[in-house]
Amino acid sequence: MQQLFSVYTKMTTTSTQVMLQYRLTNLFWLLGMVFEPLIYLVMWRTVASQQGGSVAGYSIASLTGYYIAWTLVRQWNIALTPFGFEQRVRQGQLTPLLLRPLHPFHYDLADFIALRIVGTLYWIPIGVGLVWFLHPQLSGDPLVIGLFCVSLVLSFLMRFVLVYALGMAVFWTTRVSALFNLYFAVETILSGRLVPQALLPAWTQTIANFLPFRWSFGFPIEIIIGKLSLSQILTGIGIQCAWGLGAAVVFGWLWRAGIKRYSAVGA
Amino acid sequence: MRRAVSLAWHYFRLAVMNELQYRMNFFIQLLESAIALVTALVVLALVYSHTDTLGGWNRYELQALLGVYTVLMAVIRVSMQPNIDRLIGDIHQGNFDFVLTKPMDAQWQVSIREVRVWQLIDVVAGLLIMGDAVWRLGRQISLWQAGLFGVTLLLGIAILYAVWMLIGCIAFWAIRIDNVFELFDNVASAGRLPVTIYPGWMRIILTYIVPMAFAVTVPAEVITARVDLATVGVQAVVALGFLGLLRVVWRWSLTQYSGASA
Repeated sequence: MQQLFSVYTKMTTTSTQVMLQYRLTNLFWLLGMVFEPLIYLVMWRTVASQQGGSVAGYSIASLTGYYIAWTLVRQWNIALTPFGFEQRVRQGQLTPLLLRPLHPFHYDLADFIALRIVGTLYWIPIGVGLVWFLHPQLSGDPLVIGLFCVSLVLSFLMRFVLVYALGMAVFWTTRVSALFNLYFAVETILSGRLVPQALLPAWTQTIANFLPFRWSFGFPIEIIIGKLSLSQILTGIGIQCAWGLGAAVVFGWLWRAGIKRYSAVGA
Repeated sequence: MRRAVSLAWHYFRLAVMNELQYRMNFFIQLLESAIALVTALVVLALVYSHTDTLGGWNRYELQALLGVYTVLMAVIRVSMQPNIDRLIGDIHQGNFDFVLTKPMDAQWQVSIREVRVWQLIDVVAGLLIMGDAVWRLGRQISLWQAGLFGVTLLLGIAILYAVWMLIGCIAFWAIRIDNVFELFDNVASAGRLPVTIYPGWMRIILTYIVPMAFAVTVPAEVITARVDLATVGVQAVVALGFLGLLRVVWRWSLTQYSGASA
C-alpha cells in the first residue's frame, strides 16, 4: 500500500512537471473549455430574462453560478476516453504497459491526477475573473465548500473508473466509436453539462437520477450554487461512492476477461 | 484554370474510390451523424419548452440556423480540416517539398488533396433539417431567395476556409498547434445561436476573429427572410478580404519554409 502511494506521488510529480512545460498550449486548451459553457449561459440567460428573470427555479445569478462552477467540474471530468484505449489496443501500445510492475490503470490514474492539478492551477485566475465580472450566486458556507471539494474529487474518480471500464469493450471489437459516441451524447444531455437538471422534463430527471451521469457532473455544481440540502448532499456523495466502487468491480472483471483476448498487435 | 479544376476533380475521384473500399464506415458515419443530429434537436426542443422565442428567433427559424451551421461544420470536416492536418504533417516532416516542386499553385494543391467522403452525410443532414424547418415555417421561398441563400452559403464556406487556412499557416512557425484548432472549434460552436444574442465582446470575436456572424448567421437570415442586400454585400466584402489576407499571409509563410529534409 505504502509502495503504491509512493509510486503515485512520483508519477504525479513527474507528469505535472511535463505538463507545465507547455504553457501556451495549456492556455489555449483552457480558453476553449471556458467558451463552451459561455454559449449555454448566454442561451439560458436569454430564456430566463424573457420569462421574467428565472426559469425552472433558476435565477440569472444562479445560472451564472452554475456555468462558472461548470468550468471547474468539467476540468475534473476528464478521463482516459475509450478512444484513447482503442488506439492502444489497435496499435499494440498496450503491450509494453503490461510489462510494468503495476497495473496500467495506476499509471493512467496518476497521469490524470497530474492533469487535474495543472488544470486547476490554470483555472484559478480564470475562475476568479469570471466570478468578479459576472456576479454569480455561489454558496459561501465553508461546510458546503468543503463538501463540494469532496464531491468534485469523487466525481473525477467515479467517472474515470466508469469510462475506463467502458474502454474495455475494445478487447472484443475495435469498431466501437459509434457506441462510445452514443454514450457521450446521452451523458451530455443527462449529466447537466448542457442544461441544469431542473430544466429537463420531469420523467427525464427521474431517469437521470438512476444513471451515473448526473452524479459526476451536475451534482457537485448543484452543491456549490446552494441548491441542495445537507442530507441531499450526503446521499449524493454516497451514490457517487457506490457508482465508483461498482464500476471498479465491473472493470476488474472485464479486464481479466478481456486481457485474455488481447493479441498484441505489432508484437 | 481548367487544369486546376480537373486536378481537384481527380483528387476527389481518388478519395471516393479509396473510401468505397470501406463501406462499413458509411453506416458508422450514418449512425454517428444521427446521434449528433438527435442531440441537437433535443436541445432545441428543450429550449423551446421554456420559451417561445430566443432573441427574436422562433423554434423553426432556429432549426433552420442549426441546419446551416451543421452544413458548414460538415464542410470543414469533409475538406478543410483533413487538408490542413496533412499540410501541418508535411511541413513538419519536410514532405511539403513535393508540393512546392509540382507545377501547380501550392495553396490550391494543399486545399484539395484530402476529401472525407462519408462526412458528406452531415451536409445532407444539415440541408434536411433546414428544409424541414423552412417547410414548417410555411413561408414561400422565391427562386431569388433560394439563389441568394446559395450565394451566401458559398461565401460562408469561403470565409471559414480562409480563417482555417490562416490558422494552419501558423504551422510554418510553431510546432504544436492542435490546441489552437480546438479553441477555434469551440468558438465556432457559438454559431449554433444567432450572433445577435451574444454580449458585445463575444459578438466582436464572432464578427472579426472567427466570423461566424457572416459565415452562419447571414445565410440563415436569408432563408428566414430577415436580411437586406446590404448585409449580403458586406458578407461578400468580408469573404474577399479574408481570402486576400490569406493569400498575403500564405506567400509570406512560404518564405519561412526551409524544408526539413533539405
